[in-house]
Amino acid sequence: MFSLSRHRAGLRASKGFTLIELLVVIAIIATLVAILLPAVQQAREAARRSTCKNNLKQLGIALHNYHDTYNTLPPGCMLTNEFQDAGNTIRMGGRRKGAHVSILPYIEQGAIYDMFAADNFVRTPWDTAFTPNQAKIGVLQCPSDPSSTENANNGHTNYMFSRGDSLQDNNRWAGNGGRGMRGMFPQLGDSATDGNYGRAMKFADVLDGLSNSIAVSERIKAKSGSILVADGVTVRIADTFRTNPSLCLAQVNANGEYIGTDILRSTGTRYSDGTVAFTGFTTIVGPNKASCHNGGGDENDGIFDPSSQHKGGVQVLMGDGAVRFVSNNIDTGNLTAAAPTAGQSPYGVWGSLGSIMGREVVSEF
Amino acid sequence: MKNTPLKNLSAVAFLALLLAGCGGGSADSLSLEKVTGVVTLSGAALEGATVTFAPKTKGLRTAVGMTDQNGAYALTTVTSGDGAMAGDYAVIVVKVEAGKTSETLDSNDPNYGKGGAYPGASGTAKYITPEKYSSPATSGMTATVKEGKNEFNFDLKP
Repeated sequence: MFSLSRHRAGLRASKGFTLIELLVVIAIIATLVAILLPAVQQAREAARRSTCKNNLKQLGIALHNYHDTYNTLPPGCMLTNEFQDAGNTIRMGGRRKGAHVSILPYIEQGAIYDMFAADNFVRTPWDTAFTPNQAKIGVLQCPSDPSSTENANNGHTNYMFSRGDSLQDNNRWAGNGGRGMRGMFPQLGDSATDGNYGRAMKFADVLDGLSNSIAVSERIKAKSGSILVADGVTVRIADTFRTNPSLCLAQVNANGEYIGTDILRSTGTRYSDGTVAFTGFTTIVGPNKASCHNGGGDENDGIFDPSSQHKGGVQVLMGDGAVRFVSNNIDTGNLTAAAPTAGQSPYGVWGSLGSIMGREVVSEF
Repeated sequence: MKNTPLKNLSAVAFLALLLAGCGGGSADSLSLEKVTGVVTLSGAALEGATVTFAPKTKGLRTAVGMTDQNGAYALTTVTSGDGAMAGDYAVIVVKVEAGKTSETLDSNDPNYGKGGAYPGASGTAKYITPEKYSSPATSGMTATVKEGKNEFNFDLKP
């Protein structure tokens, strides 16, 4: 086409390009590069997201294998304290070990599990001189989330076990009408001597169906010094949010920072610690919103919200092993309703996905 | 005139490339209307109160806002200030005095991780706004969010 027009012009048959032609070619190349570069960045995040998804799938397989062996799921958190057995010997109740520790043999980390077992699960998760607490386990890291320097001597995790739509007492069962045990991985009580320390769940307990109930979700690891919601930290507010979770939602300002100044940075920074603040989550206010707790310490109860660096939502593992993406816009029902103890979740589709025996009808999400 | 076909071609190619770059975008975004207003308690601006629009019908999302020093709020559903879905809501307003808070125990503390309530764990918070405004059942305030800009002002009586 170009040569044809040149022949028609017929004035000169010079070879080579004019300056204008060269500039146009360069401009087109520059435009292409400018368009492709962001696309490459997106492709990198998409690849990281697949890795995170694959990790969830591996954990799903591990949980099913665990259930095949013991006919129960691991507890979200073992007993907190020591207790005396019939012969007055002091036994340890697991000292706050989480479900991550229980499933170690099923993610090919049996050697680390053996070290916990050889110690009889006595040493605490915050004992950083204890080697297995320091283990950096690849399958527990979502590469979309940068590493954190908080609790730097502990092994970290991005994967959290569901406490369902429990808000109050989701840090220990200990009776209280069952309001702390609506998720697939409830936390046991303080010690076997408190008489009501709870138990772990079985698949048979998941009356809502394994494909309608969330088992594991991602959360961003808490970053040192940050007050940003997007950095996985938790704010401490007055206990009124237990009867009105919307008060927690309102704790975030226009810059995505918490308004309250009392900040807890625990999320994911000790993989072996089973408390909800470290390795648990709740399905109440919707993904990537806000996390609030009510005083005490890093073993208290509250709203611990799933979060991720993926655009628009979080990836979750359902009880049946499927990995689904949940949008930030998911229906959360009535967030002015108090924490439920039984029956259907007041917190919409999101709450229904978390509760395992609420008998809700879960529509497409 | 000689370069015109080439210019046209490159212009078309350029536009096509630009358009190609504009794909994607979130498919399931909510349609939200801006909602703002002012909250007063006995006529005086109320600062630091949480305004919650609780859905009256299924399918709506809870929207919240925090009042500034002028008592002004802007509702948020997903990202800051984006508003609320059109529909009927019950409105509640809550401001509490923060409960007593305790120091978070250091992991070297002998009582750390032992469970139970820590000394000085936060007590029940005291309401600053009248308590009837803290429940959708008793607040008596409602709002119907319509398409476009919405403004709802609330005056609380002690």
